[in-house]
Amino acid sequence: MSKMTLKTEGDTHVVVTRRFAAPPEAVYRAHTDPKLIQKWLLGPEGWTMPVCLNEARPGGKIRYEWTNGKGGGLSDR
Amino acid sequence: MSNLDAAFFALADPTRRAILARLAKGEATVMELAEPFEMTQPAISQHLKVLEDAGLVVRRVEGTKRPRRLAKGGIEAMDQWLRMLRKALEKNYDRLDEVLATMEKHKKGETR
Repeated sequence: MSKMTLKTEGDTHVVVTRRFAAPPEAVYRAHTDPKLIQKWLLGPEGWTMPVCLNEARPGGKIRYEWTNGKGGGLSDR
Repeated sequence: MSNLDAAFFALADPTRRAILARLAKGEATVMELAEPFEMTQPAISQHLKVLEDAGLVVRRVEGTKRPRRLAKGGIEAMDQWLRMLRKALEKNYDRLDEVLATMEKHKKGETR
């Protein structure tokens, strides 16, 4: 797989570029289907994502929660 | 404050980031550093103190001059922490490769 590149745009944007050997629809689904997101968007080794809500539509809710199983946790919504 | 706290705090200021960017090109005295910033030397010295306390800048004695340069160790400590984040991000996408491969397999299974 091609290497990931990171580029900043101004002070508040980071653009991540990475190629995947899959059709765009599949990559999009993996970014919007909570069941699939929970399989890969986990960060460092040992972390899981017990709560994942992603309603990919206008006005839809989004909520991600991670835990390391040792009391460490963070959420993003 | 841990060194990392102090280091990232020190970076959270545009003038201090500009000073570091200037020092990345090589050693400079307070006078040389003050020049492009339209700031007084005491103001620049104050910023340099924050950078020195954070372990990002060191000074050398040369006669009456005190030229400053980047402190390799301090910069590397920050870089190492950021590298951990970058690795976690790469790991995410490696896992995503696997998820996509599994999706593709299932799709082929359905059409057969």
